[in-house]
Amino acid sequence: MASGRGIREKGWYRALIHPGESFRSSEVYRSAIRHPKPETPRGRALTSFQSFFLHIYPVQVPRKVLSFRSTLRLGFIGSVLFIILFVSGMYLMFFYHPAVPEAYFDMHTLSTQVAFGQFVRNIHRWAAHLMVLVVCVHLMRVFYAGAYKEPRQFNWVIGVLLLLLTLFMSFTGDLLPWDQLAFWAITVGTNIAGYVPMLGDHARQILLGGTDVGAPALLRFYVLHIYFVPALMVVLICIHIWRVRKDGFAIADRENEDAHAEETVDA
Amino acid sequence: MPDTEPEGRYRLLGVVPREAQQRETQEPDDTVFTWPHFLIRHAVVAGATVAVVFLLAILFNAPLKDMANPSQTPPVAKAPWYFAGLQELLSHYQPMVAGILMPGAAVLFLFALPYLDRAKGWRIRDRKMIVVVFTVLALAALVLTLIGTLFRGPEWSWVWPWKHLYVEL
Repeated sequence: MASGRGIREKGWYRALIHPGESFRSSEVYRSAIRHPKPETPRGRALTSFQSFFLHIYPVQVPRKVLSFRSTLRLGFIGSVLFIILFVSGMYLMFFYHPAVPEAYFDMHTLSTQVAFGQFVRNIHRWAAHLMVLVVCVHLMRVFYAGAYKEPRQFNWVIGVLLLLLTLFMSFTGDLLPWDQLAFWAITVGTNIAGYVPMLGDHARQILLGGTDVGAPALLRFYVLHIYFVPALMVVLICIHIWRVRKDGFAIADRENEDAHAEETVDA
Repeated sequence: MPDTEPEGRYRLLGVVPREAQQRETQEPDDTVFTWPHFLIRHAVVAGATVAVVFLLAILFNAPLKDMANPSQTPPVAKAPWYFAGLQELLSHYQPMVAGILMPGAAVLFLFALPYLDRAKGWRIRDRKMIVVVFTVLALAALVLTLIGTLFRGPEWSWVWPWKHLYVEL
């Protein structure tokens, strides 16, 4: 009996019988995840404080925001789509050369020879369409909710910028398959840039790297699509969400306003 | 146990500072912890989003036409759907107006919107003016986009969508 109790206290016995508990009490785990289990109010608050990824959230949220109807989760869905595009886009980059005519042949290789190639390309395309749609609806919801009012005016401006960048991402990505659909959509689209007053043809030439949509345009669109614009968007999305966290959810202000109104009526 | 205690009799349970008592009554706690209440909802929405994208990716293949050929104009050269409204606008007015001035003004209006709206209050009835302007713009964009995407065919001619759909997503 005494020896049995002795075995239970041994490190290897605990590691074998309670591997999860043993792992959580190890020095490696405790140094990486520094908050207690999120079972108590203190544990839940510390979880938010001490996790880098949760830092983007406030520690507490207004109860009203828990209902789906409060925000329709459109901004969040947009971020999720952005992450889906980030991950699927990286996979596509493994099999793609931004050159004429390799780009087009790569698309064929992707759909016939690469494991999940067609599937990942489909994911990337539908997520991109959905993101444009979701971001537009997000803008409309925020407008009709009046959530751009003081002190949130500038976050609206950042949001509009993000909408334009989303459109630009979709537009630059459109050219990359280098098929007839891509070529003529971008030709039609960039012709408009030629009408910019003063700059006119210069604006178009800077965008295309030449007078027409060709190999230099493909390379420019590629670099903008996979490097510059996404990097800019990550920064802007972070500022956008950070400002929501700092200003609080607009819906919480309203509840206070309503409470104030009731108070004054009561008085 | 209020049942056993006759009404009107009180017992002294403790002495607390006055402000502690006040604070409790002043601020009703209508917030909840992000972890887990808000995060679990976000996790569900994220899962649903991934599921929808996967379903679309399983059901519909992304299109791939012949290789780009500058010397061969296709019968229907459409901009991507989100620019189809702009293309529709371009078919009505000269490019300087429809391609630069009108979309430029719309984008500037969107950027400046929070500063243009001088109305106090967030309710729609408090700011009718800006709501009307925004709604008209949004409807115009929606109608133009729908026409450009669904109702236009070769040479930008009017084609009813039930006759033939010239949509490539």
